[in-house]
Amino acid sequence: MEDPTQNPTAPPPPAPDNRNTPAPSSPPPLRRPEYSLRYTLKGHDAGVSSVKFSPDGKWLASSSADKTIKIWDAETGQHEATLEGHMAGISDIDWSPDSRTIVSGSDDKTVRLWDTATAKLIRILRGHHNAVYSVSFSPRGTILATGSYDEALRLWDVRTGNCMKTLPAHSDPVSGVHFNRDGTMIVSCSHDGLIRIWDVATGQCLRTLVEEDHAPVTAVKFSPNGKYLLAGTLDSCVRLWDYHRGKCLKTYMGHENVKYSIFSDWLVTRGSYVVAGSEDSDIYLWDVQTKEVAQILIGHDNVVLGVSAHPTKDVIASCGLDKMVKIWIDDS
Amino acid sequence: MNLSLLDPFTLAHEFPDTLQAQLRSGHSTVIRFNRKGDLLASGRVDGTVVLFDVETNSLAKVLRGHIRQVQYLSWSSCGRYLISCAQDFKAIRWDLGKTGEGASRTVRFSAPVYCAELHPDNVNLFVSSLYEDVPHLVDISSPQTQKHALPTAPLRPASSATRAVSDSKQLTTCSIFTHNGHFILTGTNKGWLNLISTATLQILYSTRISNGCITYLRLSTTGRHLVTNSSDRIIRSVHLPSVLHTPSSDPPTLPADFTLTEENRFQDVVNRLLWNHVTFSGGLGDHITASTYHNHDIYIWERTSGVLSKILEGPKEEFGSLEWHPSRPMIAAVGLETGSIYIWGVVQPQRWSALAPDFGELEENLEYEEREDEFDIHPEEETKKRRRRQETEKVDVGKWDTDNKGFRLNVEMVVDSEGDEEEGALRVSRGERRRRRRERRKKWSKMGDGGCGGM
Repeated sequence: MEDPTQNPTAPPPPAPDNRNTPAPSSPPPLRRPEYSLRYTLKGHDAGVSSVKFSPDGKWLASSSADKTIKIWDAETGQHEATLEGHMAGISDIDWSPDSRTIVSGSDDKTVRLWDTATAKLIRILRGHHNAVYSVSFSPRGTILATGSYDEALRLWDVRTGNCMKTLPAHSDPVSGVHFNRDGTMIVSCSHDGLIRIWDVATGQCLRTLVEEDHAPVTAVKFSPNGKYLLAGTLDSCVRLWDYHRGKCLKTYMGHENVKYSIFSDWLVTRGSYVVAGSEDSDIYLWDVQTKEVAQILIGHDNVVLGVSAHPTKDVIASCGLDKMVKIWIDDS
Repeated sequence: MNLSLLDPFTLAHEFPDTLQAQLRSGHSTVIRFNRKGDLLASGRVDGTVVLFDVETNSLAKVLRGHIRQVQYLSWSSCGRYLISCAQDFKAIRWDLGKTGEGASRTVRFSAPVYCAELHPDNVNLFVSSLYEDVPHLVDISSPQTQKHALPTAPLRPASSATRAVSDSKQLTTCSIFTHNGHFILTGTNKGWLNLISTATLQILYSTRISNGCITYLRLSTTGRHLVTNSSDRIIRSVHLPSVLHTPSSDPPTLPADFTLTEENRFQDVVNRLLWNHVTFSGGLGDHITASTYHNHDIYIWERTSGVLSKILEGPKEEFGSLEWHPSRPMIAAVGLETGSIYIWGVVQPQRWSALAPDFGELEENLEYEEREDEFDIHPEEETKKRRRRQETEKVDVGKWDTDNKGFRLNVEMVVDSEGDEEEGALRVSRGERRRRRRERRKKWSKMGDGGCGGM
C-alpha cells in the first residue's frame, strides 16, 4: 500500500492562516500517523453501517443492512460469529463494558441484546415506534440509551428489559447517543441540528448545543475524558465542542459528508487525532489541535460509513457501502 | 461529572423531600447502601439478601444462604464484599466477584447474630455481637475460622464486689470498627460505650453515655462522628478524636487525656418518641436521620446545632431500617408492615434555558440594550472563516479508561428471583410501562375467567 499522504489526488489540508494564528510555540514531537491496510473482511451482503471494537480490544463487531451482525477477531480478522434475527437492516451496534454483550438497533423498530459467547439472542426490547437509529451502553453496563426515527430517546434497564424513560428529545430522528465516562450524562444528536445533553438520573435536559446553520447532526461522541464532544454534521464538518461553554472549539474539514450518517471517533493511542469516514470513499485523520489532515486512508470503493479506533492499539476499523470491513494498522 | 451542568440551587438541596419510588422484593428488614452508592443491599425476613441497582431500581443479584431473618448488613469499602448476619446463628461473607462455590463464607455462632461489621481494610476480619452472648472478633483469612472473644465489662476503677458482678453480667449489644480499623466500638445493655483495641482485644476506654440499653452505633462516612441510639429515647452524637479515624499502618496509642464526649442530643421531648433506627447523612454527615417507633415519620436534624430540619412524611407505615445515600440527597427506608423499601429524593425542575442555547432565565424583566454591531451585516463566508481561524485553543481530550478501577458487579441478564413474586406484589421500577401492561392483562383475565389475577 502506497503512502496515502503522498497521494496527489488527496485534497490539500485547509491551509492554516498564519496572519492571525500565533505560530505553535512548540512543534508537536509526534510523527504523523502511518496507517496501512491490513485486512479486508468480506462477508456482509449489503452495506455495513457500523463497526465497533470491543472494550477489551479482542473483537470487532460490524452491523449491516443485510440484517446481520458479524463478530471478527480484532487481531487476525478471522470471522468468529454471525448474529441473525433482525427483520430489517441494522443501523448501529455497541458493546457492553465487559465485552460480553452486544446491543443492536434496527429498522425493524426493535433493540436486541446478544450474548457474544454463545452468539445467541438474549432479549428483544420493543417500544420505539419507528426505526432505531443509534444505541449506546452505559459505562456500568446497566442502562441502554437508544435513539430512533420516532424522535425519542429511550433509556432501558438492561437487566429487566424495561423501558425506564422515554425522553421526547428532538424534532427529527435521533441519529446519535453516547454516555459520558461516569454514566451520569447522555448526549444525543438529531437531524434537527441540535445536540442535547441529558441527566441520566432525572431525564432532564442539561444543555443544548446548536450550530448556526442547523445542519443535521449525524453522530456524536464524548471525548475520552468527558470534557468535549465530537459531532459530525451534514455540511461536511466534524466539530469539537466544549459543552460547558456551549462553544465550538475546532472544525475539522476536508472530507465530504452531506448525505450519509457517518461516524467519527477519537484516536488517542498515540497523540490525539480525530478519525471519520467520507463520502469520497476515503478515511480522514485530523490532528486534534491543528485541525490539519494528518493522513487519508484510501481503500474503500464506496462511501465509508463507520470507523472505530481500537481502545489500546494503533488500529482503526472501517466499513462502508462497499460491504467491506477493513482493518488498518500503524506498525511504525 | 454532570455536576458542572446542574443548577447550583438544586444542588444546594441537602435533604430529600419527595417520595419517589418503592422497591419490593420479599419482606425486607434491613438495608444498606454500598460506599459508591450504586447498590442497595436488602436483607429479608426469609433470610435472602438481594441487591438493588440504585440507578435502575431493578434487582441486581440474589444471595441465598440464611434461613431466618437477616439482622445486619455491612459492605467492604471496595464494594466487592458484603457481610450479612441473621437470626439463624450465622454470618455470611459474600464475594460478589465470584459465583457458585467459594462465593460465600459462612461462620456459625452459638446464638442469633445481631451485628456483624467488616473491617474497613481487611475483608477477612469482622466483628460480631450476638444475642445474650459475648461478642467476637472473627478472622476468616484461613480455612479455619478464628474467633476471639471481646470483653464487655467496662473499664472503670475497681470498686465494690457487687459492682464487679453486675458489670460481668453486662451484654454487648452492638459492635463496630472505627474508620481506621484499629479500634472497635461496642455498646452495652447498661449504656456503656467501650473502646477496644483490634490488636490486643483489651478495653482501652469506657464511658457511660446513656442510662438505657444502647441499641445501635453508627459512624458517619468520614468516620469523624458516631451516633448512638438507646432505649432511653435519646439519640446522641459523639465527636471522635482524630486518633480513631486517621489512617495509619500501626495501631496508634491513645493520648492520656482521651475522652469521648457527647456532642449533641436529639430527642422529641413532647411526644417522647422512641427511635427505631438512626443514621448519618451521606458525605460529611451533617445531618442525622431517625425513624420513629409506632409512628410514620422520619426525623432529620442538623448534627452540629441539633436543630430539627425536617420531618419526612411518607406512606402510612412505621419504618425500621433507614439509610442515606452516600453522595446524593436520597433516603431509603423499610416499611415494617409491608417490607417495601421507600425512596425519597429531590425533584429537580427542568431549567428551560437548557433547552435552547440562546435562552436565559431572568428573575425579573430587563431592558435589552442592543450591542453596537448587533445588526451589522457581515458576509457569511467571511465570518465563518474568521471564526475557524480563531479556533486555536489547545484541547486535551484524554485517553480511554482501560484499567477497571474498583469493583464492578457483573450485570446478570436473568436475575434469579424465583418465588419472589408473591401475592401480586410487583416490583415497581422507574419505568412503569411493564406494570401497566401487566395490570391490563390482569383486567382481561378477570373479565375472561372470573378474576384469578394470573400474575
